[in-house]
Amino acid sequence: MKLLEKIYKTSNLFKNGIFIVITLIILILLGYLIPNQKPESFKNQIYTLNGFNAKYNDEAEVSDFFHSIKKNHGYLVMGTSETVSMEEGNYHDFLNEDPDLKGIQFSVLAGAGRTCGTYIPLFLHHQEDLDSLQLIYFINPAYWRANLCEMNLKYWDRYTQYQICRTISLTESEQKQIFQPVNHYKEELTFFQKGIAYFDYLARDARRNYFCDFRNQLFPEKYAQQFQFITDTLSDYRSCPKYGQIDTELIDTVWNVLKTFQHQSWYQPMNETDTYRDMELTSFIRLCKKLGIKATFVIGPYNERFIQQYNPESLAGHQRVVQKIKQLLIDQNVNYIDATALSPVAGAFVDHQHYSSYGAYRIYQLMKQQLYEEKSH
Amino acid sequence: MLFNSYTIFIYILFFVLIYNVVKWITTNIWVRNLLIFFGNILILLTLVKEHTLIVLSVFSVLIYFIGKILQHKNSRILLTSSISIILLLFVIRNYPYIQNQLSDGIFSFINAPILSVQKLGISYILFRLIHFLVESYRKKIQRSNFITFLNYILFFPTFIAGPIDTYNNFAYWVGHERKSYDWKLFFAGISRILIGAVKVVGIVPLIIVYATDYTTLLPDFSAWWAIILSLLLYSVYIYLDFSGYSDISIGTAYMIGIKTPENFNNPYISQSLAEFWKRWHITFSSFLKMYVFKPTIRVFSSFINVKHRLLITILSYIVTFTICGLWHGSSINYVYWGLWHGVGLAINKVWTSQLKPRFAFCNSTGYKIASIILTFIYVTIGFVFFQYSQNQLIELFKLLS
Repeated sequence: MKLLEKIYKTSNLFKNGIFIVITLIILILLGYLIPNQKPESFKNQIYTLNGFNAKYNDEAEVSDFFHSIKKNHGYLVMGTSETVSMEEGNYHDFLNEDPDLKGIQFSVLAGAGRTCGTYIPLFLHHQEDLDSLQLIYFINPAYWRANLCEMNLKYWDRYTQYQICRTISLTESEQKQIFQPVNHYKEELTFFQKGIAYFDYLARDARRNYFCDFRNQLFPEKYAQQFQFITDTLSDYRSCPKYGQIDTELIDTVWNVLKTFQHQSWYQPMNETDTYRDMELTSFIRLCKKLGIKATFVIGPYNERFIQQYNPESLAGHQRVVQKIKQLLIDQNVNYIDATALSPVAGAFVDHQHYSSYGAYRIYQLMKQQLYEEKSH
Repeated sequence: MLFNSYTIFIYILFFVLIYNVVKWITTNIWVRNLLIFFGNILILLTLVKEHTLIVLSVFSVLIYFIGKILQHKNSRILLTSSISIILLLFVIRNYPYIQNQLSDGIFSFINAPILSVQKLGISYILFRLIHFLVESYRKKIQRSNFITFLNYILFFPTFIAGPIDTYNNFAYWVGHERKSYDWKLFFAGISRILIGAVKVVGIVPLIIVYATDYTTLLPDFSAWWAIILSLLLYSVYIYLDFSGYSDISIGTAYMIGIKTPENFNNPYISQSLAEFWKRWHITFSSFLKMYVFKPTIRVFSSFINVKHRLLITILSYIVTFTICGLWHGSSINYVYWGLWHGVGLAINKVWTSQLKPRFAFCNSTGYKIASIILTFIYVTIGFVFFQYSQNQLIELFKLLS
């Protein structure tokens, strides 16, 4: 106890405090002498990329991720919340397990609110890694809805880092053509938020020196262990009893949502005046063209049955928005898969904006048809 | 937890650095006070909503002016009515059952949206407000400064869970110029934060799962051993977590040049339950002693013959710790926990005042060690009531029987 009392004496705490500060400064400075992790060029295709690796643009991890896809002639599937993992499997899981598509594997980058604009800074930092990458981008029309149609700072902060956006140099025309969504984000940040973001970047950088680079120097196997490879993630969804079936126990096929969701009042009609999402998508398409990415866009379905029950007057707005997106893709001359035919299909949704596992199955079939035909020709 | 997110950590770091730079440039107390005020507002806005902060600030301003009046006038009615209102608002916010009961008739105002403030830190604000009023009335606070008072109430390092400072101590450290000592405090604060972080981030996560849920140990141990082990770990966990948090709060305050009081002093080496409460959550138990226990003694003394001093003390312990239990939470298990300690203190009082002097062995080392172990066991068993709800307690006792 005397020892504890001695430790807690202000004069001792003061001496220890100075020692701690000096040690910390030395450690932080020494950290920058540790060699950075180099890409390892894995044979197997990596399933997904940790969100922090993407947000902070961890060179080796991001580079290895893209290269593993290209090396295996696979696809990168990107999307928002609908594309994330689902308990009963999502369309990319079904594609990965499809024996007819042998040899083609699908990696995933997805998250709620992770719209295409948020990937622009990361893609621009990895221009060489992305050339000829096969990409499927799932467009959820829900993002043209009121409340979601504008730039969302919270989502951008989750998936991107101001410092990563700031350190990209582009020509004036490129700024206008492909960088507008990022500039929009930068403009939304206050001076104070930028300061915090800068400090956050520095702190992460200092930490990474030890917790990634130094760790990997000591234990080289740790680097590979942080990745999930597609071969490790296969779960055999095809043998599930509900594979490709409508879960009528959970889904009310009249309202076309989960029975528990029926009375939720989260629904919002489309906003047909705001052009932010059009601009974001157009910028992303231009970026894909500039980088030589072979992109295919999927126009996702909307829950037509639910809209008809809940707010039938707004259905026409949905149809117009989907038509507008389709026209934008045609005008930009890109490949696309139109999955909007699923919009009125019973059992295809769990809520007003997310498809069910059955919906995912139908989307998978649609995509398989297109991809299989492509490969056969 | 004060540093519950990376953003708050960065905000606090920025504030501490800016504050110390300004303090180095100017010796003007007003400027420093104002800077602490803006720092408090900025950091608290990351913890509570604007509405809560505005309501708490306005309410505190009212209490400040009442305190000012009490510093010059001996108005017991003003003091009593002010404390009653504070307590009423606290009870309404913390006990939904009472809020529902009172929400009709003349008390319907309690459902007004303006009063719907968040609970975070509210009980600690309550302590500070009551302390300010009572000490102003007792003339122990003779002078008060408006900004210092607001800073005292909204001081971010101690906002969520103390330590509960006294106004005079806070005003002393804010209002004096001690450049060399502040420098020492700054670095001492870094050490304290590190000690706290080791406890909270380094050790607590290792044991929290087993400490807070005995069922996690059931696959490997029998029911009895699982419960005993879990309880022992809970004692370690709650001490490290709470004292670690206090270390971080105190360290942060040090870095701003304010020496807030200590909250823990090796409580598990206490030789009695009375000593335990002098070493555990010290600022809270001091508050209980000053503003609950002593007044309760006075109340009982007014209608029980003073010759029955022991009975008065025992009853006061039980009342005080029942209130202590209720303060910790609105469910019945907290009342059991309070009663457990109230009864324990009563037994301890009977032992120390009536029986202990008769036994010579009470001065031996063996007795002291046995006292420490017994006190620890008693406190540890008490944590059963603290951590498990009534239904969980029934399950637990069923398992034991």
